[in-house]
Amino acid sequence: MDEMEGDSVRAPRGWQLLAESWGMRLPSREFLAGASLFGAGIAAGAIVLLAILVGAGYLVAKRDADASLAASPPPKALSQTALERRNRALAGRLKALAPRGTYIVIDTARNTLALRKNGGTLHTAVVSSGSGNMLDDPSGKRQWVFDTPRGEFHVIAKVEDPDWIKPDWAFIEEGESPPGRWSDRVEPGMLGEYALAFGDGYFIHGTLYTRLLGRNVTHGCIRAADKDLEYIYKTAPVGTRIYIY
Amino acid sequence: MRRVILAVLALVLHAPFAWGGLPLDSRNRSIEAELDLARKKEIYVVFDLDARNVEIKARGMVLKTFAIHDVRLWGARPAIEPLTLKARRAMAAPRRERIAPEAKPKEVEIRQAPPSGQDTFDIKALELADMPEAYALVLDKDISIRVRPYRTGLISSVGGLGHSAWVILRDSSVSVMYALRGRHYGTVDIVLDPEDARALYWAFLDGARCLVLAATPTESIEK
Repeated sequence: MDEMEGDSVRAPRGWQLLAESWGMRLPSREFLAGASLFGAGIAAGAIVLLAILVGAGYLVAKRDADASLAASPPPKALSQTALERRNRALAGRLKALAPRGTYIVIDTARNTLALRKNGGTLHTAVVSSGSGNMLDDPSGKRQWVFDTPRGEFHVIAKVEDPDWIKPDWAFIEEGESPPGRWSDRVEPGMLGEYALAFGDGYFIHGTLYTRLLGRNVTHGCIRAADKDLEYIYKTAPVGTRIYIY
Repeated sequence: MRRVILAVLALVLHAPFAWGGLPLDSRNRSIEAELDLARKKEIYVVFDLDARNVEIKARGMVLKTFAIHDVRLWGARPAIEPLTLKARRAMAAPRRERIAPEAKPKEVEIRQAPPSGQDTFDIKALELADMPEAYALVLDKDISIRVRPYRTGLISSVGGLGHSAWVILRDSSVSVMYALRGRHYGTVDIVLDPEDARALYWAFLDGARCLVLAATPTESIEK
């Protein structure tokens, strides 16, 4: 094996030829050792700093946890029996807030509707809820966001064979101007055979687009299939609570 | 050596917040806090870290339950009181579509069933599948809840270790920064099924309120 003089390391012939062909000289052994020590020192320093940071953070977190526990109210000086009695009373008060009789639960994420009574489920249905899309009035003065509202509502009114009174957004969405005459807004047959109003213009109603049930496609109302809607309409009286999440 | 490292990691990840179950006095306080939420016509969320459940509730009723696979607390413990969601932060937050006004196809075209059962409708809407699986819920009182999806598999396990190391480093840094500003920092990490994580993001809207129930190791019942 050939040996190079001076500072170059002893290298296999192949590497030597390769380095020479690129016009390079292989670094010396001393240089490599120094570079390695420097790199190791940097890495060790970084590890030490990180360890200090993590240790300090850990201690601060422990202090914060202890402080939050110290700030919480001390346990009431009551006997076990008294605590249990209070627990039952509080649980009773919470339970009393739940609806009595029939109520409706709508899951807008999974587009399901459940008609419940006394803790049991009477009927479930696949529905459609709000698309979440936005529509801007070309005049720039109004904007609609087609969400189904969340929270607690109740059935305000029930209607058979409802006509759809098209609101302004329905015309604007189709590139038309809202008509001046009220009669030009009436569209029969679009909402199915029944509708249950729950406020602010929102309904549970039927649909022609049964293939889209289970998807978020409406302008905020809840659409249900005919048979499901009929059951809901005939079972849920006015005043029935509706929970939408 | 490997066992020692794993043991140290396990200690750091879980100590010093050992569980003990919610004592009766704390349960009473949690019900009192929930009464404050249940009296209103609103949907609220209860993070029961002791029972490992997230519940979407209204009027004290459970509407939906999500099982928590894993829980980790860091720093200040959330007090048993209603907290308000200030913001949801995700890397890929869903965006609403803007409707471009155009003439709709005739009704008869929509009602006809498409050939071979294929859905020919291009639905542009915010749906559950658009929701993120990993995000942070920023509550008031300097408390945040970070939600991660549950994953299985070797790659997920290795990635999980790396994530845990990163989380420790991040939380340590933030704790120190908050301490320098004279504030307390606390965070809760929970792991949910991906579908449940998306559903929670969907249901827990900005401005909604919640309860975070965590067992306190030092409380005990006086007999």
